[in-house]
Amino acid sequence: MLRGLDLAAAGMIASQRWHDTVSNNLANLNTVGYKAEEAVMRTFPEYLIYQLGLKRPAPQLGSLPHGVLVDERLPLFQQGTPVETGQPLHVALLDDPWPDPETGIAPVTFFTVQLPDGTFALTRSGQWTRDGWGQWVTPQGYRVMAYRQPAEGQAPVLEPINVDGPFQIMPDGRIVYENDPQPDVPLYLATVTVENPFALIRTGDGLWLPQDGQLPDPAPAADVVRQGYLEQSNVDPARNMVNLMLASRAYEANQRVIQAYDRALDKAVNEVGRL
Amino acid sequence: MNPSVLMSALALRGNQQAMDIISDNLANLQTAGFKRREAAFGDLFLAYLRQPQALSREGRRTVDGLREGNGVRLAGTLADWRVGGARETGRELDLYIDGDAFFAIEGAGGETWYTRDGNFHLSPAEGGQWHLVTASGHRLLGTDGQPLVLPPFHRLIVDNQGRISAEQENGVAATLDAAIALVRFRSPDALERVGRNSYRIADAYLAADPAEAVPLWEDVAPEARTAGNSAIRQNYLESSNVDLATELTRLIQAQRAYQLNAQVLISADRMMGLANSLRS
Repeated sequence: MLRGLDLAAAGMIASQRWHDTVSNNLANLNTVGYKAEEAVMRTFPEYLIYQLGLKRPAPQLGSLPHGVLVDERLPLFQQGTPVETGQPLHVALLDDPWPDPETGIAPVTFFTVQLPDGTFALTRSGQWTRDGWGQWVTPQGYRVMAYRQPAEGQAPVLEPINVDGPFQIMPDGRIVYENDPQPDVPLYLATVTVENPFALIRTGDGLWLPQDGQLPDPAPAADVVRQGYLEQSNVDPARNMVNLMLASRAYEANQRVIQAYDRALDKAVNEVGRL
Repeated sequence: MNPSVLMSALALRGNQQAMDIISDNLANLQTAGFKRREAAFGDLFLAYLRQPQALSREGRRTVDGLREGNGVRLAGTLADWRVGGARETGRELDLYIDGDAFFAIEGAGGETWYTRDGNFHLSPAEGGQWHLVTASGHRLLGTDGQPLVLPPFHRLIVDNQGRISAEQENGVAATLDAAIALVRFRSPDALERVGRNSYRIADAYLAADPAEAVPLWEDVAPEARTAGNSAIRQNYLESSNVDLATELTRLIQAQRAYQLNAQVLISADRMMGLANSLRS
């Protein structure tokens, strides 16, 4: 059929997906620890056009793209604004590390939580509370994980946190509290630094999963943990509202293209060859 | 269903719920012993869309496939259990707990309820004696598990450990056997609200295994009640822990988020209109 019709339809779908990305960002304007997403467009592979006629070999005219699509939704890991709440179980990660010079990707630190089925996941949201049994949990009920510095050569073992009485969380993630059963092996929040956060799978509820299910070993976070703070969503309302308008107008522009093709086809079908 | 419409609708609902929680906090700005709550949002489960195999991977950063977000939901309402300040009222029957324990009161259906509200009143008992009741009429329990019974008195003195002395006009004072009961919870999140500024233990925890190494709640013995550790102060009430400035800021944030998402809905609706008018 007319190539342009498919192209315009693809453009409308891509604009719709872009619009959806921005809608999701704006919906999560107040979600603690949310990382905004950007829709990345990519054109379909191009293909060569030949001129039909009597000449052999048929001369090439050039290449023509198939259309455009939204290739991926890229999360932006910029630090969200920290807001002080003063609550002892609110924790924020304040890291704004430099990108690695070779890969150009900045490593990102996460907390570790345990899902009801026992698997571990990463999250940036430090808006925690205690369940009735005293364990530290996220609002969805995922248990927050900690570990004690293991002996030489051993891997750290993740354990849920259950601290009675007053406690303090130090900037490196160490949890200091009275009646610590092992005062010489301090308890640390399980903070994990991921070198390439783009390789994580995003699954909702603020969770990030490693692709192969293997978490990097937790390590004390170098001065990035702040008790009494929450990391707000890093969604920029102004930028997203502008993108919303752009996506909407791009959708409209493609709609106009389809209408133009429709009128041209209308002529071809109804008027050409009319007696 | 147009995803933008769905996401904006969910966001409108979520922000409405957040504003409801904030309104509840603000309404209880002066309620003694009130513990504020806050909204916690979570982004919703994402769908995974496959993409054409012929697509080039060059320059792509994230995992294969197009992940689609589906908006936001209210993941929970978290209670803020921080102790409110002590406010002197000079009233004999106003009590303040200097610590994290709760008063035990006799709730409906014979259940034990718990409250931080120390604004007590007198209710007549048999034989000319008196019960101490909350503002909604629930009787305060003593360390013996029974509602406290006070003889007729001219003045009531409650000491730091919750022992009550009823003083007659002639100066003779009689101390009751049972002190005021105080219960401390391992985590107050085992409680659920029942209204009337009171809480009960949620069913899930009532049915907990009693052989737990550390019990989920325990009575605080009068001897153990010291300053900062659930001592009782007479003539004081606990203020609500709602901070006006924080709540108004949260309200403004929720309102603006509501407005933004309403704009998203308008934009999505416009796009659907464009699709409908492709051939008008």
